[in-house]
Amino acid sequence: MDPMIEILRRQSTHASTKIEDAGRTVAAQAREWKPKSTGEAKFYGPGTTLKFDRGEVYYPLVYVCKGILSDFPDASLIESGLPVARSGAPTDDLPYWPSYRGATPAQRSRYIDWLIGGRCDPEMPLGYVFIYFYGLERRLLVDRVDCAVIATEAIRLLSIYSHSRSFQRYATMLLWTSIWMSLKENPVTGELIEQAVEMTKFTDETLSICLATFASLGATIPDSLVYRIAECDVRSPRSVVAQRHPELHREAFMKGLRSRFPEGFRLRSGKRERRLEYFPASATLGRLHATGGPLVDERIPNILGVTSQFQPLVDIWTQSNEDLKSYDRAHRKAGGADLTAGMYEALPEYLRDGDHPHFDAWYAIMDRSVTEDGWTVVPAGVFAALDGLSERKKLTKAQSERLAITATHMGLALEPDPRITGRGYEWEDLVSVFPATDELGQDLASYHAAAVLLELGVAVAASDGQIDEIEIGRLTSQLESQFVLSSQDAARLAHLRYVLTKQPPTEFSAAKTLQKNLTVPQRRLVGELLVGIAAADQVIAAAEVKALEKAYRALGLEPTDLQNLLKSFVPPSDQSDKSRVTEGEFRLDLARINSIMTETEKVTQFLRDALREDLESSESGIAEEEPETDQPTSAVRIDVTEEREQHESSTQPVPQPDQSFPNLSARLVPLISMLLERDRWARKKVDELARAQGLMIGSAIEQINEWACDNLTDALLLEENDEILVQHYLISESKTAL
Amino acid sequence: MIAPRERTSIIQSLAAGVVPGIGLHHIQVGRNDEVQALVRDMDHIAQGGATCRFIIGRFGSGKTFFLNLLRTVALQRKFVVAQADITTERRLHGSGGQARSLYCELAKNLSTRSRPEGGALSNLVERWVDELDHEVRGSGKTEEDVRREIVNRLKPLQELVSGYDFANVIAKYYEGFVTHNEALQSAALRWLRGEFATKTEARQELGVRSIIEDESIYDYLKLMAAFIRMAGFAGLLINIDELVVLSHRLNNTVARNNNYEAILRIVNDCLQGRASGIGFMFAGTPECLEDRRRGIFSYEALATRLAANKFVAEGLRDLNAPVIHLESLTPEDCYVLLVKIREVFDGGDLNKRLLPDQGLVRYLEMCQQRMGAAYFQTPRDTVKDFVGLMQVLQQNPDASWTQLLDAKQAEPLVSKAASDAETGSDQGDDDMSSFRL
Repeated sequence: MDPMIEILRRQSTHASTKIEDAGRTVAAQAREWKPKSTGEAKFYGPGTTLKFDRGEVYYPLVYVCKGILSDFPDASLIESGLPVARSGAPTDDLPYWPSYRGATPAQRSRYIDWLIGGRCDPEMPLGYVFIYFYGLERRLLVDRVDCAVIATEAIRLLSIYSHSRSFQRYATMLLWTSIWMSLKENPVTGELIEQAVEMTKFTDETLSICLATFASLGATIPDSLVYRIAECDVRSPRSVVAQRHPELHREAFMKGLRSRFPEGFRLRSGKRERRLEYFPASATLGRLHATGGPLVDERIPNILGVTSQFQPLVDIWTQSNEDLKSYDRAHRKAGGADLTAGMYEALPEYLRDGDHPHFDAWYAIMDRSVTEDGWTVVPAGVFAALDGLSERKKLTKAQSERLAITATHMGLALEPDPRITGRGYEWEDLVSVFPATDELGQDLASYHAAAVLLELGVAVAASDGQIDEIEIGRLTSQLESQFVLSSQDAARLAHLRYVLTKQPPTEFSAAKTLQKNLTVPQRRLVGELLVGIAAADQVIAAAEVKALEKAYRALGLEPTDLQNLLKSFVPPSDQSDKSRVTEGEFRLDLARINSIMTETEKVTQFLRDALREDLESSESGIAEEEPETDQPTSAVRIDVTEEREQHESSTQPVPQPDQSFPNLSARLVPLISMLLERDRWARKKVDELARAQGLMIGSAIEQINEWACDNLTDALLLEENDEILVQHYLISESKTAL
Repeated sequence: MIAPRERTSIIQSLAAGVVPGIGLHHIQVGRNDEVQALVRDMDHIAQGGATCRFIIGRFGSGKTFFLNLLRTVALQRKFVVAQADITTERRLHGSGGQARSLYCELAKNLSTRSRPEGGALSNLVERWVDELDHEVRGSGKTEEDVRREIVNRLKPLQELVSGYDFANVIAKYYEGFVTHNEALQSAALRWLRGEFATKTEARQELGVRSIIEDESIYDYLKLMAAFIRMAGFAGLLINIDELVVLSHRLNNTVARNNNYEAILRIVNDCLQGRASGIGFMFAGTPECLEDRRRGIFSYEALATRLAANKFVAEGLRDLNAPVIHLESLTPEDCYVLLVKIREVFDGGDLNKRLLPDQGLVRYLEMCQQRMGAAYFQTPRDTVKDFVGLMQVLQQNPDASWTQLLDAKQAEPLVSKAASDAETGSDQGDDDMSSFRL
């Protein structure tokens, strides 16, 4: 703020002070604002023409007087008695406080040329524009007429000269003050207010007048202004997302706004009104300001005082940031290219416009991959190639899941689905593609269990070289009786069965899932089911026995369990008595072991609770996109660089919260970023780095490790003698897990 | 999922016959009720209470393991844990620096979740001071204001014995940091760790008039607990192992009784609510507790306080009582333990499995044949040998577990007496045997 204006403002507040003295109230010498008249000056307003010897000014909006006034006139007053040079004469720069009288003849000449030229030369030095602007201020603040005309003119000037922040500030204030004052007699049009909103870069003061205007009119706030209100609110988190993708951000915000306020956003005003404070740009009016100031009695509704009414807007703003974060990551990853598949999929559904970028390519592939019996089966690698992946033996789990997600975005589904199986595709793996109504079934656990059993069953059935219809039939009936699947899941299972029969699994990797999740008795039941499937055709071939042994091993069951079961398929007369237990043999009470296992499981569960190993919290660890290459820490390193640059360039480092280290104190981020650059550090060096950040080394290590224990799986920094080791792999693991 | 650091620590420790410092929950077996009871204690401490427990079990029943497990749980629950073994030179009471020595050991082993291996005292102090410094200087104040604020914030500690000097030492530590005076910082830490032997030395280096001495270690532990809670932690848990040393290694009756009196003071404070934010876990054998001539029960005041609940009959337990008895491991417990150790080696991946289930059974069978049932009551040896077997199998993929076990079984049996002498030589069993006679 201009120091002079500040002083004047303080003086003006003293002007209306009342003093309590000895029981009587004495009005202080309240100096009212009484600007001196301009004498013979006349304002040439709308519809008038001002004629000069060199041309005419239509719609001039300036004060003019004949001759020269004896007193010091308004800075904008054109005194006809003052000499004016010929048009085009060379001029010097105007002083800081320009005025028509104080200008040289050449400068006056240039000013008049500008007026005649329609006051629209963008190259005109701003001093001349301000001389003109002072006249508008006087017209509004002293004469208090032509409010709508002044508002319109302010908008026009802003469209030309807003490159000057100083002019922008003064002109915006004039604009909203004139709109506010117009409400008393001849309100400006709604169209003009909309233009004003679009033109304004709001400050607290102008926003306050603007909202007061809407409140007085009882009008709904236009969406664009609501967006600006949210943007200006200090509680709205600043995010690069809104800067990088302003249109999408605005669209997301509007979506949220319409959802939250379907009838439009209306304002509430505080009980106490606030004073309209206007600080004139004009030196003449500024000096007069000392005698009370313009608009000293003007009051407006206090809208910004009721901050709670804007909280929903802040929430919508924050949500818009969150909704676009994934898109922003995909956008950066694509190097700012046009809409890629990743970008499309990262967009919130309500912002997606049109089909998926790979829609045509996928359907073309599907059209030429229909089998004779009507199934659509495609090698996974064909779809992966569309994502720009080069041919490789195996896709990562993340790459495979991305295919399934892409399919979902096109209203399709894949079987097997890596999001269910937890395994990545091999390049040549066949996948069945089919239309799907839902993303994934409601009862995912049931479907997953059925799919695992189906895979195991097909593996056993196929181990003798051919898949018998009876075997598959028994398997299917078992699954149907065990699991109540929705029609969508039943269809999925049919597609999976088709793929498995075309490409029977040779490994029992699915059994690992069961081994992890089921108890021994439960796994034994699974084993029995598999044996039943193998025996369905009345013959358990040697190859099937081998496959069953393999399955039992994969299930973590003892071979004896299988042997005992197989014996039950053999007539009693064939059984030998080899299994008799010899005396003194060491035996364990399996029931007791199960009981201990159960108890231990309880303890493990309990310990898990006690140790607060909350899966969700670990998932919210380091939120960054999954790396495609073997450089798992690359994203972190980018942040490291950014942080270091910030640290080095800033003279007063105020670290901002970093999304790479959520929940970590912001002042620790620069240090941790630097430490991640190496695997080991000398303790002394770390001490220096910590001190440079205003931290104590012990405190920093303690807090970073505590954060790591909460968000990763272990302490990030290990102190060994005079060295500090950085466990980089924790960051990599966390990112991979995501 | 076992972190590599935990896996290495578990295998190395078990191979050496000691309890691992980290990752214990991966090899935990049973003990559901006991763990729950002690976690309830932790909740009580976190709410400003105090507890004192005696973990009693036969040699090899897993007392040390249990203490370490509780330590792990406590660290995860934002406790600071101090752990030490009682020895003849480190005990609760002494006149020749033995008690201060125990305090030194506890302070040295002070651990937090982010520094579980101990040595966290400096981090603890720095964390509190650093946050205060940030807060005060962030509001535009000076270093002198920070110093004043340190003393001001630690005023509540001055209600406790020696609280005034404690606050001054913390302020000195900060002064050392600000002036880059490492010697001053180091002296402050030495004082906090109880490493000053004379008051003169402490006065010269830090300007304080008192030091941590034999008779004041309990007061300083309470002081430390209060400071720890001010620093934002849940409380201080103190694990003291090998109580048997007090009962069966201290031959002087007066010395023993003085130590029991120190325990009595702790028990009284905890039971009567005079201590806050602190918990004590003592571990010892049944003899150490119940022996009426040398054990804790020889001190009548403790005997009445720690006596078993008379209504606890066969099959019933009272886990709210100060004394918790740990049962010895059964062969089935051992089996489950071996399963878990095997999982530490293979990470649950069947393809990397070194020994099948038959191998586990065969190994336990061999143990029984070689050592009898007692072998299962000393799981330390069972586990140590098993880890050795797993390491051989891991390093020699071509080796056959059946051959290794056969070869071991063929070795001459070690006599039980020799075994006892070997395993009990450093556990005080000699004393116990002589006492039984």
